[in-house]
Amino acid sequence: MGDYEEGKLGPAIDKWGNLMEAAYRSLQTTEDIAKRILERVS
Amino acid sequence: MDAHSSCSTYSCGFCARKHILYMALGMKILYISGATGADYMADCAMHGLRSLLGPDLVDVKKMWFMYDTSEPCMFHSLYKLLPDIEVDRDNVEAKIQSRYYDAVVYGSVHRCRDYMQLVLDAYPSNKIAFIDGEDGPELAPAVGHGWYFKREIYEPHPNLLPIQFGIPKEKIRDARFSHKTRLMAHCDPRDRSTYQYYDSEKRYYDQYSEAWFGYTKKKGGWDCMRHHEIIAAGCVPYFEGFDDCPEGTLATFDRSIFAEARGLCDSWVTMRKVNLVQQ
Repeated sequence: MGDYEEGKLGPAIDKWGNLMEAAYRSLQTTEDIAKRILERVS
Repeated sequence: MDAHSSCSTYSCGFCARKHILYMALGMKILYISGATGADYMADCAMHGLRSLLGPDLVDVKKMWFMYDTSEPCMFHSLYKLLPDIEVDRDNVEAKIQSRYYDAVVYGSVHRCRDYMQLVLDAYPSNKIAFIDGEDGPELAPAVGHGWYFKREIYEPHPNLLPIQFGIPKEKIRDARFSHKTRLMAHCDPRDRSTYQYYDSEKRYYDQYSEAWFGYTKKKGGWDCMRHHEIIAAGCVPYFEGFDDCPEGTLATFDRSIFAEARGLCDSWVTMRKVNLVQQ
């Protein structure tokens, strides 16, 4: 994730980094949407 | 090599889904919409389907605003991205009747139901998908006639499949700590005077990339492109009021993130760490 190195900037920033990574995992791409539709109609 | 490279059984959910998708990639899909533009859910789905299927995704009414040949658009993230490739849009009615297309997708079922009777007569319901991206919980008179994908689900319903906005993968930026200059991004939906980025998508994304948190909230619906754009820019959403969001809406989001993010941001303000993160 970019220039993030855990432990380098302190626990508060580490916590932010963990939240950012979780947010990325939650983020859906337009191709993810398409796959959900194709899985149903195929 | 991934963890499933040696597994190809249907008892494995991951591999079954991968197999279904592999089969789907050869499909011809008819995409029916009013092609009116800035209908985010319909436009997200079209972008993803065209990205996967190429010209086999036929936008029967050409969604001109999605193509790189179109005029500049005031909305961000989805538009003017797709190459304006040749797509066969001829003889659609005859092709529906002969089931030339493998499946039909209605991109915005409240707004456009062109060819509906033809489609219902020609196709079984499992080959039809309806997308309902409206802000409210009302349903279109298509429930039960195909797969019904609904963006704002306020009550559990056995015939609804959740769906939400998404971001073209090429728009997703890495979070860069060295770029952070503000605690909270400038653009704030509580203050329309901060809506100063219609003329430049880059500036819009930059002001999120430069911030640790981006304020967001429910507006017309719970799902909003802003939430997704904030994350895509490498910024953590500060989502006010998310605790009241119905469970069927924004279903792919990890709900714990938002409460933790608000707590962290508030603690930074309380502990006067604003200067630390603004250095």
